[in-house]
Amino acid sequence: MKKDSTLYVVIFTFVICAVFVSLLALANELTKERVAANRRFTSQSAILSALGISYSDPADAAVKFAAGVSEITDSDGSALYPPAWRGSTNGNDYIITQHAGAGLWGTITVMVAADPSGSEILGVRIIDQNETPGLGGRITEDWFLDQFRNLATAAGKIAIKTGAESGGGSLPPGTVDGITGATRTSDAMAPIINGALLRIRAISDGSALRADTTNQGGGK
Amino acid sequence: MSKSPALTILKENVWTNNPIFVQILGICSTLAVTNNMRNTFIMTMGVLLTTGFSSFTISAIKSLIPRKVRMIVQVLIISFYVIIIDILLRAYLPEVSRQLGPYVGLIITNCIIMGRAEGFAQANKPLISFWDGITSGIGYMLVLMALAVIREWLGFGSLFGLRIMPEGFTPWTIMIMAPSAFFLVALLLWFARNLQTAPAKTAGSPPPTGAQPAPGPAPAQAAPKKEQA
Repeated sequence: MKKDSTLYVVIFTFVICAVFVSLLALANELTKERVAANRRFTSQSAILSALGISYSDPADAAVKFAAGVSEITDSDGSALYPPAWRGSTNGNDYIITQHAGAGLWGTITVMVAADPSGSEILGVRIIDQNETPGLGGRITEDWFLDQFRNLATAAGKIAIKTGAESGGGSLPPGTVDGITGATRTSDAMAPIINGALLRIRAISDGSALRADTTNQGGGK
Repeated sequence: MSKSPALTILKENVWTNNPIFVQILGICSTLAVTNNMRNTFIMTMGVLLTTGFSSFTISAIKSLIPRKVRMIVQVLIISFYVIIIDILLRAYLPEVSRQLGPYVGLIITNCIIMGRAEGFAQANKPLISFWDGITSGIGYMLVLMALAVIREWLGFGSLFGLRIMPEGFTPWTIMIMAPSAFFLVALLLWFARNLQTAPAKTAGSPPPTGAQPAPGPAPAQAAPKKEQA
């Protein structure tokens, strides 16, 4: 068969695509379990850290997660979207919810743990963000997130202080320091966390658990 | 030529025909991922392996590839290796994979890989093509790492995440942002091109040998000074 004949080109292209795509499918199949475990660990570790529970490795995290956290379902018994959990630590019950909102460059996804009335945040963790590394990206650092640990909200809301006067001095209740040089990212964090608090209250009063409302957004 | 072809290729790709300095390829990733040494290293490693293996594969099956669809097949092979790297990172280095985000996928668009496939692997044997791809990757990696050292050092005050500047050091925010890469690449290019062309004018000796070029330019510089005096 001539190498430049249409038939050869079609057959060759078909065969080579089939070969490489099969190899990719095989590689994907072989690592599927591991990737799923990694993803599970990412979410479990974020929830445990938001609750302030320490863990030593993924296996330990899975055990502690199973012991202290349960996923919240709607009145039909299907999982919420985005997911939310009930967890308890030190004898208190908390609600943890995943929530996302717009940052400066992309979506910021957070895990917020708070008491069911939304009056006190237990902890916040960032699961996903695309902010400027070294500036807005510092929202994932402990010093920033530790400000939210046991933070009492002001009328169910928090604020993030930015601008020239931030840093130093006492902050009003329910307020944390923003990040110097990352004002827009800091400003974006407050509505995201307040949105999560709103959702936590909606979950605890049951209005977010009706099956007809929870299935919007294509949740599974 | 007395040197073995492998050494010649190494020198070509790392210095005299460096993908960044001379071919000006792969500049987008140079701007995007060089503000942090760890990510830069992993990304350039990805480029290095992809270039090597795709050149090898393309060279191995080049007699079977019809000319009409040659580029489509090259892109297919390149993206195959990039997706394999992405899968491996997701499975074994999830933290890194999350940090690199879309940049791993963007290795596919790195012009160096296709440049080597078209320019070398099409016409050479598989093993030497593999070597050509790897050394091109090394040339690319060295330049990007040089940039990353400067950017991480001044932008974060650290190297490979280890803090080396004193506590009171004010990070240069600009170094973290993409614009700094523009002028750093330009400065580095200027510097490298000067090094490459300067000895050729005077003595004609190869530049990276260290001891040789030093005496070369010195008398040349001294001579006009005497005339002026």
